[in-house]
Amino acid sequence: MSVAPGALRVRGLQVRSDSRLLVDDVSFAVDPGEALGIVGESGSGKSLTLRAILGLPPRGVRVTGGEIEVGGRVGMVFQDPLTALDPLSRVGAQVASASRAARGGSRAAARAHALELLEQVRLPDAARRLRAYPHELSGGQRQRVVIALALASGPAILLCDEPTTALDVTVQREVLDLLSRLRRERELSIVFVSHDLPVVAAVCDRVLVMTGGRVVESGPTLDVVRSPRHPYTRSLRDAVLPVPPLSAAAATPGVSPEGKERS
Amino acid sequence: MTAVRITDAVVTYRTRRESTVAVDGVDLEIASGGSLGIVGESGSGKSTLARAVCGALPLASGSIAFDGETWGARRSPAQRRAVQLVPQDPYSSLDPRMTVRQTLSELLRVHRLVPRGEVATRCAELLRLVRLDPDALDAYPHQFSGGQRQRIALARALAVEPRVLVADEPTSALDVSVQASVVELLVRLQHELRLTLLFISHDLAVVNATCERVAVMHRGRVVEVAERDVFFAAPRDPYSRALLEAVPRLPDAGGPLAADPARDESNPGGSS
Repeated sequence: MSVAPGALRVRGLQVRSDSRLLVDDVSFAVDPGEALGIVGESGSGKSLTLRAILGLPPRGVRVTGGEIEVGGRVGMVFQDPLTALDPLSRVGAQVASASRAARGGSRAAARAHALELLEQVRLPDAARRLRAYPHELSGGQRQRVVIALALASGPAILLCDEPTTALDVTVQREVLDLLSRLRRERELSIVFVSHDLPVVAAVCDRVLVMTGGRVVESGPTLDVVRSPRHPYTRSLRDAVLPVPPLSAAAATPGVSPEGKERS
Repeated sequence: MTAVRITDAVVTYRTRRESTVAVDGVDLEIASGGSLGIVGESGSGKSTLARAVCGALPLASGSIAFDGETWGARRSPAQRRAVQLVPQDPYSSLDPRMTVRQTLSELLRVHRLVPRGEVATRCAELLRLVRLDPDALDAYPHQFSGGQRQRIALARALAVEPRVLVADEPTSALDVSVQASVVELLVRLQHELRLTLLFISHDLAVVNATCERVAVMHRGRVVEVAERDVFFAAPRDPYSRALLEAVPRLPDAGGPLAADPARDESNPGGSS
């Protein structure tokens, strides 16, 4: 039995190390074009679940049970763009080789595709930056390159593991807006893992709460945030430090930070 | 009484080829027992300023005065004790080969803060101060969780009885629930011990929870200083506003979510 293009179904997923059960009976489904958030703290099993879907569990960890059905290719966006990129090769070449590995074709076609992808993720001055090395880019620009790399294989599903945790708040907003736009334009399904409930709420329609390797609650983001049923979800929500509301009256018209995406 | 007064402070970094101005003419003050949060993004100069306040970096020009007395980067032991840094990553600031007891008692002995016979008692007291069990004294840093390590780093800073605490992103490496408890502890200790707090963070929510005044740094300069409530409701500077607008907020905790048509379309009418 297979799932629709862009859909993802996980049933009874079990991941263990030699001594411990790390992910225990996790089941969920993602509809084509949907964005699902997985929220939890360190050790909750959220990142392992993502790695299991990618088919790349960390060393010493095995998938010991359950079924994963994926409707298409999967791309992955990692937390730290500096470690996800090869420091010794130019970003254009990295995206081009990812494209060629996935789609074949000539070097020239791969280069053209790389430029297209970097433009799509709105890397500023993409044509020139093809020749840049990762360290020559800012954190936000690097994360755009990592997203372009993840898109190179033409995935139907994008897995994101804390993709904005290492970023400044205005850059984080840009990357979150970029992911939402890509999702609309490319009809991508997204699985977004984060410890940060407000960040997940900014991207995802539905959310799964994990702790201790298990899913304790799931539902539409607004329901889960407004009326959590599980005590752990409530404690997670209550631990979010509030930022007082901005008064709209004092808005300064016509001012927006550079490169900010609102579409 | 002004505990900390920073006047026209400039800090530059020199490399062989060029020099970069990291802090560019900053004026700030913190009242005795008060708290000031400096927010800004990477490269804004906020951490550099924090290091200059601690005396870890010299000023190229300008001055930093404590209780009216100007101190440079070369400070006496008593001056160094008076201004303590709580670092972002306690793991790199605690000696992995020393137990908590060794770390704390070395400090207490070297600085002759308590008579020899009272070192053990004071160590236990310090751990209780940061809400840790004194049983933890004989453990090594790696045996603690991130939140516990940050409490130990705090105990270490408090061991030398500082007047000013400089905290540089002390909670950004922690899980959310742990972060909330460390913030709460810091606020309580600041009041109990009447400390003057300079709090550096990129996280506006954490600054809102800890500081009565907020300064925003951007490209080495302070673009705005305001009382907390004024700042969060109605920032004057466009960059401050951009920062606040970019912060993701929970739907019910701080106004509407940033506009995202995709989400709105798929969640017609919201919920509950």
